[in-house]
Amino acid sequence: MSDNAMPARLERPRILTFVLLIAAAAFVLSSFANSGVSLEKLIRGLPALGRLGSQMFPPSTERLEAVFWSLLQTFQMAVAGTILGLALSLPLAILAAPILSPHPFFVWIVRGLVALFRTVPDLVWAIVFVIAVGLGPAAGVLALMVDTTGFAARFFAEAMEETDKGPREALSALGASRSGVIFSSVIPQALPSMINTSLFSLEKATRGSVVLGLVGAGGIGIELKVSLELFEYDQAATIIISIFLLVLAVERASTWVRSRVL
Amino acid sequence: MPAAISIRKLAKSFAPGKQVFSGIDIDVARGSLVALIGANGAGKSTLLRCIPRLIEPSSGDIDVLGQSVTTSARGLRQIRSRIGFVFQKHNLVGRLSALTNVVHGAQGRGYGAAAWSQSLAPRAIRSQALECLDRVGLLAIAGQRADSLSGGQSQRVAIARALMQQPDIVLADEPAASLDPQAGDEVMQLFASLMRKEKKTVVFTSHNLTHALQFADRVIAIGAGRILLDAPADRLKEAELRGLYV
Ligand SMILES: Nc1ncnc2c1ncn2[C@@H]1O[C@H](COP(=O)(O)OP(=O)(O)OP(=O)(O)O)[C@@H](O)[C@H]1O
Ligand SMILES: [Mg+2]
Repeated sequence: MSDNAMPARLERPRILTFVLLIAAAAFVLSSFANSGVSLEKLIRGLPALGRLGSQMFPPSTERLEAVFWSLLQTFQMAVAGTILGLALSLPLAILAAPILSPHPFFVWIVRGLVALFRTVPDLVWAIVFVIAVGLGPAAGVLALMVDTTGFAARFFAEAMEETDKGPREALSALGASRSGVIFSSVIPQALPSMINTSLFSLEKATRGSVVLGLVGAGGIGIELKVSLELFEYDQAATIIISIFLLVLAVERASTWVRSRVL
Repeated sequence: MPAAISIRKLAKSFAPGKQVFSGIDIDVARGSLVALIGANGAGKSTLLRCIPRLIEPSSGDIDVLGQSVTTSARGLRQIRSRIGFVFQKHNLVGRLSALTNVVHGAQGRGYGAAAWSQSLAPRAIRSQALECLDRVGLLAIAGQRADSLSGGQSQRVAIARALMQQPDIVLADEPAASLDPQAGDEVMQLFASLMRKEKKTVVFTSHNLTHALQFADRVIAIGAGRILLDAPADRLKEAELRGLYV
């Protein structure tokens, strides 16, 4: 084979690609410039960070019991919000999966709704529900429900969409109804992935539940906010450590469940 | 008595100008076993799938057991429930037990949610399903997950699922093609003898001419978009059929 017949090792970049690359590089540089991070700032901030650290240590054990109860409430909010969100995700996912949806119209509507749930941050949902149902954990649970739905409905729909076509076709061929096809072929096949998503949802909701108190939607966040505002940094340290332990415990437990079930 | 399956002027094209077949007329008598043969891409699977409307025909009429195969969802489900379909790839739900997969066969018979899983099924359905597994010789593995079974076992479970429908008609698309020769012969032998014993009307496709001649009453060959040959199996020779492929 002659040399000219060989394909080029590198394709010559087209002019448009080149322009886009330059633009992207410029944007990255300006991102650093505009947000004003610098090594100098960081170094100047170090003493303050050190002072904060020393004020946090040793963590206070004064209100350990109160911290424990509000941590429990936080986790219970996460559990309730996750379960409600998962329960809502299942029908939404069925409507959003083109192979299962009764009509393409539902696919678009539901996907739009789920995208809205997902793209609006949970803290914003918490504010919305505090306005709607008042201060307290109920607002937090609703915010976590919506946030979980935005996450889980999407992944449930993808898991269902990826199931093997053969068993589905076999079920329709023998005269099964749409719900028969869904519950005896699609969901059993999608189950491992759906369990995985559910566990991730719980982990995510646990992390999310911690900050909801900042806007008055219940849980330990309010404790953290109050101690920080009163400069009780040793108190804040206790709360942060307990949050860390809770999140870690939930992640560990979920990994364990995953390894047992899947 | 009307034919079990009556096909008139059936045509199917997937894209304009690319017709798979046209003008297909076939009557399948009740209780007969018909082998459908033809080269790769001749349209055997397409023809078979048109019968329960797993594929929408482009034109033509199909009557099943004297009833026109309608497009109304309810009517279609009712007709489908009377037709067992055995696929080349068994199409079982791998994560579920063999027994649950067989129980699924009752879904067309009006059991609905009760036939989603063996654990929900009423006693009568479970014992019928076990009996179907027994008929294909797999009672012992009823509780095993379908994805742990061999190819031959899986295909026998799929046959049991079709029996569970208590169908009048069974369509099988190359039921032995993904099995080794030994397992393939066994599955075809079992399939044909069960179907004969229960007087089912059967259409199966195959590339195995020996199977076609050995197990069918009648052989229909398709090619070039039409029926090339339609004759009783006992009047045909393998060499003659081989000629259809060149
Ligand atoms: N879903 C589809 N979309 C487009 N074309 C299709 C589709 N299914 C089948 N065809 C085409 O229709 C023709 C007939 O295919 P079919 O699968 O019915 O043949 P076959 O006789 O079953 O072949 P094989 O022996 O390989 O199973 C082929 O040309 C195939 O490419
Ligand atoms: Mg085929």
